[in-house]
Amino acid sequence: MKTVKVKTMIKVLIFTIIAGWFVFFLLSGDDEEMEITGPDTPVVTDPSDDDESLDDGEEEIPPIEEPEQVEIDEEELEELLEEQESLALVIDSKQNTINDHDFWVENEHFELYLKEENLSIILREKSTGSVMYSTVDDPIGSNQTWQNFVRSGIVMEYLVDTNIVVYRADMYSENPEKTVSKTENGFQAEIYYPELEIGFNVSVMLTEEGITVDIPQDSIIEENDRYRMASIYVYPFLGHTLLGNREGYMFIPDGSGALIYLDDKDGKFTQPYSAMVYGENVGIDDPFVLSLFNNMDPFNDPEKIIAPVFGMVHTDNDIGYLGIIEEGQFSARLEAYPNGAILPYNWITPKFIYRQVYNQPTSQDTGTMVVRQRDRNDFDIRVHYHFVAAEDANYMGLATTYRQYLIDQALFTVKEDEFNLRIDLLGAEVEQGLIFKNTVPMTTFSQAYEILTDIKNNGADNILSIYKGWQNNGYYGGMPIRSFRPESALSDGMTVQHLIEQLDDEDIDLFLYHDALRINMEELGTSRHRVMKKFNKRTYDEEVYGKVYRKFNYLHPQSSVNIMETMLDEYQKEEIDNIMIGGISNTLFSYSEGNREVDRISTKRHYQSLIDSYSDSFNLLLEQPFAYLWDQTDALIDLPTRSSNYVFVDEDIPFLSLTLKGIAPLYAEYVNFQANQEEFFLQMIEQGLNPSFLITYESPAMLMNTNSSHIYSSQYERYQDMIQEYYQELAAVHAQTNGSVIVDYQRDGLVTKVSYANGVDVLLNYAEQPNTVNGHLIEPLSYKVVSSE
Amino acid sequence: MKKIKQLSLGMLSIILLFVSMTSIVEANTAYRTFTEDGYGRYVETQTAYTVLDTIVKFDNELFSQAQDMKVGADGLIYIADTGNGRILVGDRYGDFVRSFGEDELTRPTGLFLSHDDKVYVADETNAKIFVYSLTGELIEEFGRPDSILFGENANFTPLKVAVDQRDNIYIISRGNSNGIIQINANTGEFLGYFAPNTTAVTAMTVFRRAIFTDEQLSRMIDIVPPTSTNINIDEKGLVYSVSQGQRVEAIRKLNVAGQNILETRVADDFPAAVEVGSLENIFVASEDGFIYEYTSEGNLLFVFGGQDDGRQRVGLFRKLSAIAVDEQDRLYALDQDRNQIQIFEPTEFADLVHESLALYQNGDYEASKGPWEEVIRSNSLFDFAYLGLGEAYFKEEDYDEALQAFRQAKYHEGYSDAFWEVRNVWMRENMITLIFIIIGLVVLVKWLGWLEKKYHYLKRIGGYLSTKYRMKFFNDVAFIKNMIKHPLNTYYSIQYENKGSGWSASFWLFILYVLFILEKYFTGFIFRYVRDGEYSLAMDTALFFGIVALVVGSNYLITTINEGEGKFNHVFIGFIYAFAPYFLFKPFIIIISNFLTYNEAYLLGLANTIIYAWVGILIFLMIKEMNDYTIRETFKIIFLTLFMILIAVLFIFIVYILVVQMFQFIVSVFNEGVYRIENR
Repeated sequence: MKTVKVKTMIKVLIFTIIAGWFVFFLLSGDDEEMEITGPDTPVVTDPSDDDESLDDGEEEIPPIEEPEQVEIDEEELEELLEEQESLALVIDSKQNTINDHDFWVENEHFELYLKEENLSIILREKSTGSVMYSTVDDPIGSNQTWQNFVRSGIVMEYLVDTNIVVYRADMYSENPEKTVSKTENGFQAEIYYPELEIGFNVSVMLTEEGITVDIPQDSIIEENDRYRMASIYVYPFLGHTLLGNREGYMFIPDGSGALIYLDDKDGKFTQPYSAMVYGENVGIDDPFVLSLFNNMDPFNDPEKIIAPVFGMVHTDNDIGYLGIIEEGQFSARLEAYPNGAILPYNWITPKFIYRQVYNQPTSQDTGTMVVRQRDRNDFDIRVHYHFVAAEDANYMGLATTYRQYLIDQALFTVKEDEFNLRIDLLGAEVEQGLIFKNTVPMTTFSQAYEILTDIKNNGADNILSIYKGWQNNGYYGGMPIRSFRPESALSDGMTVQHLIEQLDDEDIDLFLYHDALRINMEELGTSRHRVMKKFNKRTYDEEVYGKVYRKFNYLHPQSSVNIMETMLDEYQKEEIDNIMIGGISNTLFSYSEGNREVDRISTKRHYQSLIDSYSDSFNLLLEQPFAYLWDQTDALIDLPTRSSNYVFVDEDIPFLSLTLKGIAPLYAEYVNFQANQEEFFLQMIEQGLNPSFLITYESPAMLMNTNSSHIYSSQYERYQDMIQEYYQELAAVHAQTNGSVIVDYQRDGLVTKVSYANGVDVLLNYAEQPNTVNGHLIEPLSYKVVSSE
Repeated sequence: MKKIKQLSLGMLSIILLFVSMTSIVEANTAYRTFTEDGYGRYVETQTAYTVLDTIVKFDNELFSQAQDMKVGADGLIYIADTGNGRILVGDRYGDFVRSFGEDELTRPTGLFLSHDDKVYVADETNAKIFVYSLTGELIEEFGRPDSILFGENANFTPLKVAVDQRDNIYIISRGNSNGIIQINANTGEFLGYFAPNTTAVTAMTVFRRAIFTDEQLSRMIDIVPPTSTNINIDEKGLVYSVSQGQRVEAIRKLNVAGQNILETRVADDFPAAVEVGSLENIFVASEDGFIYEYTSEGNLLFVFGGQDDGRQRVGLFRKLSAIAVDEQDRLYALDQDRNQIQIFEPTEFADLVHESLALYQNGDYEASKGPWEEVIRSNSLFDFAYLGLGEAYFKEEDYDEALQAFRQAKYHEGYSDAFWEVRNVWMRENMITLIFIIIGLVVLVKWLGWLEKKYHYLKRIGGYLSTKYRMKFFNDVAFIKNMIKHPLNTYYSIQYENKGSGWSASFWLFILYVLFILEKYFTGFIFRYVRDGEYSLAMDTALFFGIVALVVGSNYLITTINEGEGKFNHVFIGFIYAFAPYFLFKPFIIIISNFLTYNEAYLLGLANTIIYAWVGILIFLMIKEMNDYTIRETFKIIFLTLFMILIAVLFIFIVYILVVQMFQFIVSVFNEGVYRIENR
């Protein structure tokens, strides 16, 4: 018998390991190093959407692609302006035809006129006679595509093979076959493009509030493999205006809400507002991180769209609408074009995305190929245009409408508008050590007790507290939370259960924070939990450029659910009643699973059922939740108070608090990080928000070398007095407005007047000189609460 | 009474009208604001400036490709409207005031408002400096100086201009690397070149100078220093200039002699404009949209802004070309590509920092303490505030607090001074105890030595142990002590008497490694070059053992082909044992470095030099003795070893690249195949 040498055995073993690893690597098709750094993401769905990305090291910045402007002849423009002026804004009585549109149906409030040729509609509000048009009669410029676009009620975009350019088919281009039939209170149109072999049904229904447009997905026909639907615009020109010849504004739900005035912009802006409803989709769109500044991201992310609404208000003939995307919101993008961006018109529209193309990297560095999304996103389109007229034709009217809508549709149950001081505590963090990572305890459990009871003893009675970073390894080191293991460094003579119990005796609610979205792969190494992969089968990295961890990953939605389900039992076993969920409450993405492409709506389904079960078992708070989760949360945490400050925005409005104040407790973002704290304080008074602080016992200088190094101010000693002052003032204002909704909101320069349903007015002066409002003198940077009774 | 009421109402409504122009509250800024920490790294801080307003035109007068802008004492904005060939004057609300220079100007690129209310304009195309009154009358013009000193081939294409209190005009001319051109405004006389940029001399340029011909040298671009990009002059007559380019000082603050008196740790690569604010703060705008605010001493207070790459948000720039500050500390930033001016105003936090800084710079340390503390309360990571606070404490002779503050600020000099004082106090208080302890120790050692001499306890124990157990390893380890007194004999013993072993050398190698790590991370704060919280143990370990392997291995390989007699084991032992002085003294140095200040830094330097020189000599002797070389041969071997190391590193690098390439190739082929099949 031949003896086998030890050496040979070792060689064989090493060979098998290397070969095996290589094969595994190939098959899994994904590795940390395999991240895409390719600089060329094609501009696909939208000419404005320049997702250029750049390699970190590169100094040069690529030229900014500007959408091509449609050439306009000055004379032609003059003519058009005149023509537009001649269009009737107010029509006193019912007509047979308006502007080639035949009378179609009517109800108590509205009349609907239809032009079958292009599905263009005109809506007349009966009591005021104001009309709103949905297409342009005589379009401008020589560009045929855009001419057809502005004349069509519905526009479809389609993809040809894997071509990254999208083509348009509307009511004129590509010769559609249209069959319009009358329904009980509207019409239904079957549209079919014989050349593309694509078809769908559009139905428009006149309701008591306005109109509702439906495009159900089972009516969609796609028979040619070459042509695939990319997206649909629904009445993109409804309520459009030309340059500055009308008065009013477009409302975009950016952060707290923002207005774009319908004045002439002198061609200042070349790009439109364009954002996905419920935040950008990281599963397919390459994120916007470009030119780093010394290894840091120098930009703040824009605010996400939290509620699927948009609006257009014409203040000259007092008509406007609030568009509510009822179905298809998870695949919708909102676009608002100020005049000068491509066309001389102001228009706002949702765009529903069925398919996108994406970059598929084929090698570690450069090679990419463009791939078309295989399956159509799964959704019906349903947009509800809720019209407002007369004295309601302003953004306050839109907010009231939305509030009523939420309540009527049972999307939101009215909650008690309680006043609380929100004190968030940061428990532990980790920093790099010589050999192991060191835990940095910032607020231990007994310190937390000390701080909260001290605040209470000093007079702030109502406290709600969220404890972040309580888990083993702290806030970032311990993600995801997979079992109930509080960080031992925090238990100095008091356990977390003990803390909750004792605080309960003091009537202070302590919520444990749980980020259900992120996973720290560096800490976990390997894990049985899956991470989210983008459509191109690459793991999505959330770059945070932290001092300890450079990036995090997202959990696969199913893994989130699995972890959260075990945690549900653990929390119940530990008799925890108050939970705050973060991450999944304001993030949605598409992802791939093997070869399957999974849509955002399926992520939403995973999350929603999960949050439902938590909502049933606990007192649940959600971090800056999207509108579809508003009913599950006990309060709205981190409500944005501002917009993202886009160049084309003329005014910020507190749309969200105008809608929700009085029917739910609203909490502001942290006071700590506001550079202008006095102004921020006034904003909280104005919007009826409860104050929020992030507090630590230790000095945040200790966080310098942790991933939380962005927290530069949080020590309790610093905020001790400020908390009490804020509490006293805000509580006093709240006492007068408690449970009452906002009915009027007036702003004149730096002076604001907010009127509540119970007759209380809050007057604010942001100016640096005193101002008089309604006969009340308001000191600079101050406010006054007056009751009109 | 009624009349007064009416009047006041009217006034109020005017005020209302007036204020309604400004937007109500600033929204979330698109940019983050950073400051510099004590190590010169950027850390995030509160927003320091927010956009107040944007001006795109003065009434109906648009500007195009405007390259310079200044704000006058009257608050009016002067714009060098480069594209339209004129100077445009407007106010901060976008109202047109006047325009002038349409007749003479072709391409005005630079503009300066002098102390005597004149407007100096640099026109690139006309190659002239035009001087106007504030209202726009042409007073004077200056062309190319005809002095011989100016240089026959020197360029005169004025881009930027500035004028000091003594009416000297400073001109930056494109492509004239001799320096800033200085002309007397009253006589028109060319005064000379001022403060030229210098190129840093690198090893490469020295090498090139040595071997290149004159012709080749003249064709080398980087040997010519770049001209400055922009210039400004403050009220004291100090000239500020900014330059782009890799090897120049980006920001300079020049005294009369043309010397740079500013030291900045962080600066942008593409500065485009510089402006001096009310506290002598220096504002630098970079072409890619960042605005830097420095203190007059060059500490970075804030940096914010950035490139607008399609974000469409307020506060970003396409190409920033000029910056100006008005009396209210508002910043005006001109975007040459977008043709707009964004006006920034300081936030409450920035105001607080400025207030503290003003007190601090006036030397009113006592009063600045409160505001600095408030800054720290708002931002515990704002290191510059700790520096200010530390100085304040130091002046108050509260050295303990000063020490803490300087430690937070990572300010070595201050820490050293404060520590000296603290140590001084401690020494004074504990001198007697210290002396007693030292005397006690000396006595103890002497007594032990006497005991040992008399009774030979240790020797007996040693003898007993070595008879009972095999103590080879311990003996080998202890053998290193001979290196200090008799290195040559020790090498001989290692080579021929089987003293020392691979194991004992490995033991010392490990000790060497531990000391190396300790020295890196646990040297006193003043002398440490590693930053707090930065640990790279894995890298250090790899580097340490890699270098040891490379040096020992290379040396051994070179000696084997050069008739060396050393065996690998002996060379290895020899190398490690040569570090004996290091083992002996380094631990003390590491400990003592925690108690020394810069005043005694020379002690530390001296000690280190001695150690390293000693180790070097021992290694040299080792190579010589073990291989039986002459001194000449030894030097040759050392150079060959260095060369071999270089080659080895290159070789490893190339192999690595090749393997990675091959790997990537296979992965690409496989992936592409998969995706083609999947997406057929």
